[in-house]
Amino acid sequence: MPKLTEQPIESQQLLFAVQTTQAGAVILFLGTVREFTNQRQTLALDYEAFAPMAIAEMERIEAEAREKWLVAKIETIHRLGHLTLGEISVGVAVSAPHRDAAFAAGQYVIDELKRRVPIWKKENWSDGSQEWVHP
Amino acid sequence: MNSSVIHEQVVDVQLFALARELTNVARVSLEVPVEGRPVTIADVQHALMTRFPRLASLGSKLLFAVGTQYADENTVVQPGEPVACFPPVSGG
Repeated sequence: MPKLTEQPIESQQLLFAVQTTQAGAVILFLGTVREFTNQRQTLALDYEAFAPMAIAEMERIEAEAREKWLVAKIETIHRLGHLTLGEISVGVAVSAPHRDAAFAAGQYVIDELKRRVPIWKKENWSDGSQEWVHP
Repeated sequence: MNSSVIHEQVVDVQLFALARELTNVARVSLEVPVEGRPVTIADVQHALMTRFPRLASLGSKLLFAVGTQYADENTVVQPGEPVACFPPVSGG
């Protein structure tokens, strides 16, 4: 079940949420706020979302992953608001009977999230400037 | 003026991230001319660019959604359906 939150993401809770006796494999991906992008230094990030569409798109991505691989449970969560260095911005946890499916589904979910889910990131650079990041 | 002929469709557009900052509005009601066919995203985009010329700096990068689904320029916007306009996504 996808979620958006303004509270810090608890990675242990994500793992608990997908663990089941049907799964022999559990994977966890965390995206965290990085200090350096090439030579530029980040102080903080601000995330915003078009929330109803973001949830709908994350649900579609989870459903696609279930069609492609035999997985037990998927949890996708994205943080919104002001994040400082090292904080978790996104978490994807997948459990599956076997590790191949867990890794593949987890990679698919995070890649598609970054490609399609309407969430935007604004950099707060160390020189005092702000900049929306657009691929 | 023939009151039975509808000349425009009011389309509610929500804007996000840089699209919102360039327009200084998070939401706008646009009067989109109806030209004897259903209103499409291309019509909404034209009306939006006319009202907010600064959006041109995002140009062809602007994305659109009808409701909670991505839309392309040919997507029809039914009366009352909300539209969203935003730059390329950058979550994660």
